[in-house]
Amino acid sequence: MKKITLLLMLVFVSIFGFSLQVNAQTNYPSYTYDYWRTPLPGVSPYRVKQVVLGTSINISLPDDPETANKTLKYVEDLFVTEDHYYIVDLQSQKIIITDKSFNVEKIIRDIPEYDETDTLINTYTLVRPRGIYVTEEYIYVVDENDLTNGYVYVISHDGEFVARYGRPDNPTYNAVVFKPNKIVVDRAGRMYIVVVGAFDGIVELQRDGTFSRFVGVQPVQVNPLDLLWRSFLSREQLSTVRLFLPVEYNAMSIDNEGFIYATSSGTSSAPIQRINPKGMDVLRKNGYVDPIGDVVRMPDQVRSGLTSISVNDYGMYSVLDRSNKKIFTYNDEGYLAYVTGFEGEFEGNFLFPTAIKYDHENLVVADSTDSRTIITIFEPTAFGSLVNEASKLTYDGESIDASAVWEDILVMNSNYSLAYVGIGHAYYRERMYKEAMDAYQLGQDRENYSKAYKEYRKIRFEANFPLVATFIGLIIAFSLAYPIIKDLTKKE
Amino acid sequence: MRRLTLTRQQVNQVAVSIKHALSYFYEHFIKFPFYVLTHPIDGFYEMKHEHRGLLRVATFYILLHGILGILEYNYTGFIFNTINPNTFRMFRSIVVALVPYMIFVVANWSITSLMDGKGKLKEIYMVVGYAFFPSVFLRILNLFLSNYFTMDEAFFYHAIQAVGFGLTILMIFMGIRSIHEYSVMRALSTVFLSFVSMLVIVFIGLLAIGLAQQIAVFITTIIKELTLRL
Repeated sequence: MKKITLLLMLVFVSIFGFSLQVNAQTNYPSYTYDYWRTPLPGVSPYRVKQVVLGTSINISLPDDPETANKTLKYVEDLFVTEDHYYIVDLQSQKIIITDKSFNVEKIIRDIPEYDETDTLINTYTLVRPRGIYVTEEYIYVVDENDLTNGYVYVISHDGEFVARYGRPDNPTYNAVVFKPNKIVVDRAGRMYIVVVGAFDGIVELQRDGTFSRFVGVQPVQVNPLDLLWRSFLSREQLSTVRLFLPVEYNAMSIDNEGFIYATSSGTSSAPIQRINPKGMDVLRKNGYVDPIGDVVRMPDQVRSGLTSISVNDYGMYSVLDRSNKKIFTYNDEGYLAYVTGFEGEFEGNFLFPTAIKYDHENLVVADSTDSRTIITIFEPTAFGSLVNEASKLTYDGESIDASAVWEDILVMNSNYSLAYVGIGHAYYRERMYKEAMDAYQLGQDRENYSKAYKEYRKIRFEANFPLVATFIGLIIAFSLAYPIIKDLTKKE
Repeated sequence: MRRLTLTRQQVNQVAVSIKHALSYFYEHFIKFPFYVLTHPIDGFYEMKHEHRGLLRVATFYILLHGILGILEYNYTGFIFNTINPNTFRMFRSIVVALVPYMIFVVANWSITSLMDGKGKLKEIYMVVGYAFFPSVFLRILNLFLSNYFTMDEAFFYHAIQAVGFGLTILMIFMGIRSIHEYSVMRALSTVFLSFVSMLVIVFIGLLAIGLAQQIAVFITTIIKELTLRL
């Protein structure tokens, strides 16, 4: 009897001990949507690796006693390079450059300008820095300044002034104010700037700072009921009603090929766009649900408000949903890979997430309220890294290698329909069409199923062609011969 | 062990009765509905005045129309089968397929009897039943074809479906016009009014159900209360 109780206790301890360990890693649910837009619970793809408190980052400037003992206040934007973090602190008006373990290396507030003879001409001061982008050559910072005349600063890596661009002097740019909010720079040095109040799209500046054009335009959303209501209003009344304006962009990211990924919150029908060099939206939407954040809302849930985006080397992009405090990750085909994140004050949860950036496989998320600033670094769990690996292999065209990874993913989460599609791709590549069809059917991918079936049907038809041809020939022969046979039998 | 032995005569009898059944089925379930489909004016006239239609044929096609939803759920090819198995309900599928038409029959009857239509309830019912013939036939065809179509041929699938539905609507309209002996404009207006009265019927139906529920709850609470007190 004693032995049995001991055994039972051992079993209980091992079960609960194990489950406790699992719970400690993830304190938020993860899910994906299936073909019928049903959210299915999934395995958590990311876990907290490190939480950096804003109060642990000292941002005091040695030559300014006013800033003594000041710490990071409000992270508005982030940038991650190979060995540095660039943090935009909106409230203390600084750019903080730290190494990978968050030791402050440099703080930019005043930007000195020197002429050729190294004499100081002028010093510019950041007022309301909003966004940052870093290339090998320069640091680009957008500053709202006095909320009417913002500037784009180009700063060298030594912190010296290189150039400053104000409101574009071009008749196409018709907004009164210039409130630059976020910036990305492509390989050729062209600057793409999201400007608050510019409804024509993203401002593109040439390398030398001259305005070239607007890229990417949000479709205007018109509500038929509104339109009807408007037709009854007088001109005076109309002037007080809100205009139909396209939704503004609010964040950007740029991939290796120079495509800009831009998000917009609010009522846009295309809240995530992938803007090609021509300025058109070419986001792929092959997934079960469109990349718009949550497609099914719980009764108390608000519409997804996407506020930040980051794209990695193999076309996966993560979007921050500020309204619901979630991170949505899509792969290059537009499939929702996983959702993570949850509102709350526990580690790994968010209160008011402001920026997200990929650091290789890790995700760096800034969460800032007036009272609390946290930068959380997430690392992929076993499941998350498998999904990333499989997506990377598929992106590189190695769908056959990816198949084995998808199999491993299915062991962890059999709800994960995308894995079946991946396995289907592998079978298709190996010309095993029947198996591909079965896999696509499990993954509810009708288009690829159709492709596989087309090949399968062709093979089946070709294999059975003699039989089919004989059968058809016999029918034709019989129908031709039937009247003759009938005649002959009648005569007798 | 007894052997089941059939005499030659018995075999013949069975063969003859099968042949009879088949020819009966062909005559009434295929040939005449097809005749009505191809000659709607003559067909519905003969149905009304020469009593060529059968009630059981109409019922057969109406039931088939109801059951086809389930067959489609089970046997449509994967590419065209987008029914969610988690929310599919057999009984609901039948009800959803049939109730609108049945309400239409009642609504049309109630409207046309006020607007001196010559048709009886039975005749309206038969019109609807025979009208399902092309739709049911093409849906069965589609059920078969959908297993051999790819997405490139999706057009044909949807075209067949649309033609089936269109023919059914057309036949209902022609039939209504014919059995009530209406002009086209009058038939159109009665059909429109039928839709209005369908809404009224649905409204009253929901009201009645709601009230019945209230009464049921009321009675059960009284019983509960009494059992608790006594």
